[in-house]
Amino acid sequence: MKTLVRKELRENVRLAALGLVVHTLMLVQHYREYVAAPTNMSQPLANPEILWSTAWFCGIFGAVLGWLQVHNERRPDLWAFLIHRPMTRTEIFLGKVMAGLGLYALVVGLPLLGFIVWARLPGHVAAPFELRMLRPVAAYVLTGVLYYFAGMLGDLRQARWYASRVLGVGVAIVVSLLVSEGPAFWPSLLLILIGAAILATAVWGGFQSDGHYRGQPVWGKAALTTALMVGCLIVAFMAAILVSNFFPRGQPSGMTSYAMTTNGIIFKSNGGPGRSLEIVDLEGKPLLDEKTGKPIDVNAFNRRLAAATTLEVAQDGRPGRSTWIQRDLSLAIPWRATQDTLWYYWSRYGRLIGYDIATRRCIGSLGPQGFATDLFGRGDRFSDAATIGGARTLSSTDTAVLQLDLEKRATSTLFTTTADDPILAQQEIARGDYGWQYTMVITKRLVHLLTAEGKPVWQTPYEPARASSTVFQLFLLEPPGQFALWISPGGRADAEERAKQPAHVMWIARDQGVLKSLDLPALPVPHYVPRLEERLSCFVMPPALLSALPAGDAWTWGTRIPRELLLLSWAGAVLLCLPVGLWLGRRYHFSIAAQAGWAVFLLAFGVPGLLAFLSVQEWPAREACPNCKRLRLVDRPQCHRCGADWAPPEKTGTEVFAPLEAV
Amino acid sequence: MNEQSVIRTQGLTRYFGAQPAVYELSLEVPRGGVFALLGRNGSGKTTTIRMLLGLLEPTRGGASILGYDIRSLPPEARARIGYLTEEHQLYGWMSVRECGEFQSRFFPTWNDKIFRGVIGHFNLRPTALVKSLSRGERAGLCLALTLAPEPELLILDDPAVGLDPVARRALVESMIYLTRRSDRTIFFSTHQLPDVERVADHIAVLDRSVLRACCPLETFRNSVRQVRLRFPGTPRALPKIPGLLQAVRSEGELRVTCVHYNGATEAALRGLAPVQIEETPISLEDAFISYLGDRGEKSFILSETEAQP
Amino acid sequence: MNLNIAINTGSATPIYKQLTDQVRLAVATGRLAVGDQLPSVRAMAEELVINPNTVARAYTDLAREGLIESRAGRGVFVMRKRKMFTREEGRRRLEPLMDGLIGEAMVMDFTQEELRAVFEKKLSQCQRNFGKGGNSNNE
Repeated sequence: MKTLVRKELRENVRLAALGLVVHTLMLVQHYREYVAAPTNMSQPLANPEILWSTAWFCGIFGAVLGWLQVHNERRPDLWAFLIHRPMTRTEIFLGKVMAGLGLYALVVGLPLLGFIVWARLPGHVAAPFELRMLRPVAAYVLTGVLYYFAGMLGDLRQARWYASRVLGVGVAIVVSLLVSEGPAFWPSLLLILIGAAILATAVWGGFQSDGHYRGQPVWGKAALTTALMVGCLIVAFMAAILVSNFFPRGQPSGMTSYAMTTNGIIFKSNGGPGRSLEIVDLEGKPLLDEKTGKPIDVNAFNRRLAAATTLEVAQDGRPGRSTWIQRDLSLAIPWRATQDTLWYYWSRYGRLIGYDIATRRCIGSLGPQGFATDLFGRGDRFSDAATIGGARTLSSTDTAVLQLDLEKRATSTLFTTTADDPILAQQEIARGDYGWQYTMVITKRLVHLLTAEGKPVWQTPYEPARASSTVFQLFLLEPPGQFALWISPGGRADAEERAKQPAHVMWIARDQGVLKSLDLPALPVPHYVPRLEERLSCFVMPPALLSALPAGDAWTWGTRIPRELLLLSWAGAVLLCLPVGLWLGRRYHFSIAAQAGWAVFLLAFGVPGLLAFLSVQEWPAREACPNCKRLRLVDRPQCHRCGADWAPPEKTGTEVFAPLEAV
Repeated sequence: MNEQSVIRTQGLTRYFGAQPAVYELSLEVPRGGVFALLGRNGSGKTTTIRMLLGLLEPTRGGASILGYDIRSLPPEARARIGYLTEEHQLYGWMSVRECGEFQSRFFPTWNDKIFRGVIGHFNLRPTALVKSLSRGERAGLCLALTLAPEPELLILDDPAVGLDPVARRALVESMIYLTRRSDRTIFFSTHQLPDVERVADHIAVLDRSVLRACCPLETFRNSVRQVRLRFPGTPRALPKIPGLLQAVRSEGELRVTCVHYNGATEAALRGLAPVQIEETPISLEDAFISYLGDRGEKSFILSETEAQP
Repeated sequence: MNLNIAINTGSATPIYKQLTDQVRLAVATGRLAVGDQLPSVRAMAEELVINPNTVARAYTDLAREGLIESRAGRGVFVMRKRKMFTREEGRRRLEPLMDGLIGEAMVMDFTQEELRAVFEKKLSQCQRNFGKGGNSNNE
């Protein structure tokens, strides 16, 4: 085994050297980009650029390395040379994989390690760093291992359709996507593990049978079929999208929305395909332009709209949905750069951490109670709610809103509240041309409006929406001192759920408080008509996948697949895939167990399953039986109908057979 | 595992698509001696050998090699079998010595003297890279790698293809050297009939995927006979003769090549009333070509119309 | 011992028969005398580059004819030729060979005189060995 590993290392050392050079150059490029801009506030070890480069490099290098390791023995006689030695095929497989993954770790890890060492040395990178920030890069490095196995599978398989060699990459791509968009880190790791297990088992199975499907152990067959099915899924999906491009697009249905003008009046705008935007008031009367007497023009209407500031506050104060990668990359958020200092909000300490631009070192942290030269201060922290809202001059704890002076490295309290009514968000509202400056603070029970100095202008209680988040919109009306507060459910909740909740509008005057309040009925959700590409792509989607989807989210229709699309998917499986599979199973005399298994598989996985089924199966030829004259499979010793054997070779009378003497 | 047969096949069949490459092959290779597998190109020799070594799955039928089922050859079986492929392919980046070192670590019975001996016989420099070797030199290196572990069973797939006469002679000498041990068996496929004549004890002939002969070499030679009949004029059409391989008619003469020439055949030939019947000796090569060539009658008589200028 | 055996592949004569014919000829022309040792089976096989079993078969045939004898542990030696056939038997075997020879010569348009001359020449070449070599058919 050691000899094999050493031979593999030696054989692929040139590719490894090339990869090392390329990877190092990529990281050197990152280094140069970072060093060229001293006020750059990104952490080079945890920014989108390094994620991109790591993801692409690991994927491509992994695939090429895996492919090359198998391609080295492409010619059948050299493959025979490799296999024909006193080693099991599993041991040969393991030897190759150990060498390959070792090279992969070296080529991917060594430059990264160097980069990390550079970044961690004090004086180089002026940004916070914690170990958790390396998790995204680590995840992409691990995902590259899937591409490695996919590359091996690509060259190993004896595929009839040459393009189907690429299908193994499907699992790697799907896992990459799910890891990028996934909600949590450890499930993503589990997903990587599962994907790697599937692809590695498929490769192992290929080694057992020289790339054929038939001679493999059953685990290898299952893994190969699964991997191909995922690949076919992607291909089918893209084909469906492509095909639907050639057909006329369906018409989207109309949309209605609310709008508020500067005098505080609410209008509805109805739009639709082929229709121009229609503006009506709440009673339904169309708004007429005073000068012309005709329905108002859209641009003129837009000029009348009131300015609004929006704040979305999640139900439990946590930031809205984001992927785990986004969260890991946002452990330290760039806050603001002053003349000589870069300030970051580091959620680990709940404080603003400053880095000197010139020396690239940490100079200390700013908390609610003021500046400290270390990271902890007196343990005083801002709340995470401080990060909601765009203003970078305000921050808050649970009970106070503070104005930040980063140049003087000091804080001053603008507003306080009690502990039972904690602050959820604050936002600075500035209307330069009017010279207005307010601060809006949203606590658990109240909405406060303050002046820039912190003097209260008004406050009002509110009902939080029954959704995952509440959206607050503050409209600045004319004359100054008039406001409208619009509270509506937010978040990516099911559109139908949202439609059942009213929005609440309050008109507030500066010295008089709430003048009027109104519950606006929710606008009807336009009836959803699936577009052609959605129909086609759902036809080719596995029903099992679509049925299991409500467990996740991130769909335009909310959390539920429209019934019509679900039915389309099942129809594809039942009407097309299952009959084809059953027919082929009968024609080629699968065993009962095999037919049942494939039937379940085709039913669950639909068109991609059928494509995978057709890709892997090696159909034996059929010949006429010498006895009953009906067609029978050549790979069965006995005829399935009459039980007869095959005819021995025809005798021509020129045969020469004689006993061979033992020598 | 000291059976008398080192290879035993039973109805071994392999289809590629709808065509059988090997059809219902049943033969037994006895232990010891040299067994040659003959046949035209594309008759199924390499396919058979691949199946025997577990590198190709049979469509149906089975076989055993050294007592092990070919569908699941364990490592200890592979340690006892030497396999020389047709293309003599090796890793181009290795040197001759590195190839030897590489192989020696896998086979416990590696005999380095044999390796160095064969290398020396083919005049290979130990530091030469495989990709710089000629076809014949690569063959010599592959032979050295195959012989050094002193395998019980040596399987060679067309080992002489592309070799110059000196290399071919060295190959045959190596095979004879191997027969020193009576428990060693050589199984090889080839087109080189002179080599077969020299070293083979037994032969098997594959004709278009079907086994047509399996016997000692001398039995085959004795079975294929050529008879010359002389006629006063143009000979008549030939009656149906069992075992007929070829019949060539020319001016005043009929040459018949057939298998199992016996009294019935002679009687049928005498029925044509020839002036003379005489058996002409035939070389192995001619016998083989007649055996596998097109069967039936050929006529080289110029008709009178054609002879007109 | 100046035994020079050459075998041809591709000949109509099987190799073992070429061997036996050449050994017989060597004994007949005196290149091999009675009591001379022949190479062992293995040595002959490796020198001629042929299968030892072929050599073994040739040696067996020659031993059966009584031309050579294998002595255990010592080797293979040329034998004093024992009488194998009676005179009648011998003549019966000789005459077809002569028929063949004469027939061939006639087909090749040799005259009787020419044939006789060739025959005499060949005979005188082997003359010395007919007397020596222990071919005492007079027994």
